[in-house]
Amino acid sequence: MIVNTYAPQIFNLAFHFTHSREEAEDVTQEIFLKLFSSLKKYKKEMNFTAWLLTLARNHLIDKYRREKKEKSLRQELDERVLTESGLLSPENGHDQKEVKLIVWKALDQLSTEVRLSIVLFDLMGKTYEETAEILDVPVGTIKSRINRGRLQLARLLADQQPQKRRI
Amino acid sequence: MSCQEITILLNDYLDGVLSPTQKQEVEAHLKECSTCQELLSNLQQVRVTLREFPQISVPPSLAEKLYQIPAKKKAKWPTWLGWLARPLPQQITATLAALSLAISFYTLLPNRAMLAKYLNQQLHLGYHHISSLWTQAESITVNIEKVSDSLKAPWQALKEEGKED
Repeated sequence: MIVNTYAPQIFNLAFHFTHSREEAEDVTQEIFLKLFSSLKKYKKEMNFTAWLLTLARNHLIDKYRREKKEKSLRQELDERVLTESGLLSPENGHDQKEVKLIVWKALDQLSTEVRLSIVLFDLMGKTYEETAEILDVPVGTIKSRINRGRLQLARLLADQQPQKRRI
Repeated sequence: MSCQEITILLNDYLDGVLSPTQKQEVEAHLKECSTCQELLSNLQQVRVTLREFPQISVPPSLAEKLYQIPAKKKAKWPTWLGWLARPLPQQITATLAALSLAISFYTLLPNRAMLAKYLNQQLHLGYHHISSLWTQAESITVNIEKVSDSLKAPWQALKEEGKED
């Protein structure tokens, strides 16, 4: 029951955070191990999804605290990872594919907290309130992180598509 | 409004949550500024692209491993040894294990005499160090007493002077 309901969310969060399928699988297992050993700490009045995603977020941040490790892991991302994961569908046009790749790679350049906010809100469809609860910060902070992150991605997209600017 | 001020409002502009005045200001600026126009167009693309990344499904092999976790956790200790996994017996067992390891290490050591001599030396050194610290502390106490005695007489004199006044 827990696995069926929550594994997709944890796996997607881990995948979008690590940008590696193998790493995401390992991380998902680690998070579920942690979940089963911390279930005693869960109180009925808590929102279970938010509680579990907070546990996942803490695990991800602890695991990839060292920026070096994070970067070396995420260097392996490429078109293959995206295609295999179904994020680049064959029906996507060339331009659309290119933009997706640029945005995907640009996500790596965001800070951990901004990236997590974008992943939860934009990629996983959480609300501002849910994202704020999971990341344990006020809603205003989440809004400003998402605003900042999207603008940063837009600028990075502009840098990667100089030819379009000239047209 | 400057480009910097407009930039901050672009997401809200796309969400349609700006006040009519702010909306007019943003639109007026966009008509004049090609840099902000380009940023708006890229921002729009980024927002659409982020929403288009689909959720990926959990691989069956991973799901299988996840289903096994609760069973594995339960099977970690056989039922008859389950009491060992509880917190207090665990601590007692760990202490006993550490003690037996230390005792067996000492009794099985070939040059035990040397170790005993070394330990004896270390004990004596420690004892000597403690006793010297003790002597120093005593001398400090004596000095404090002396100082306090020397202050008693002037203090009394001052008190009496105060009374007379």
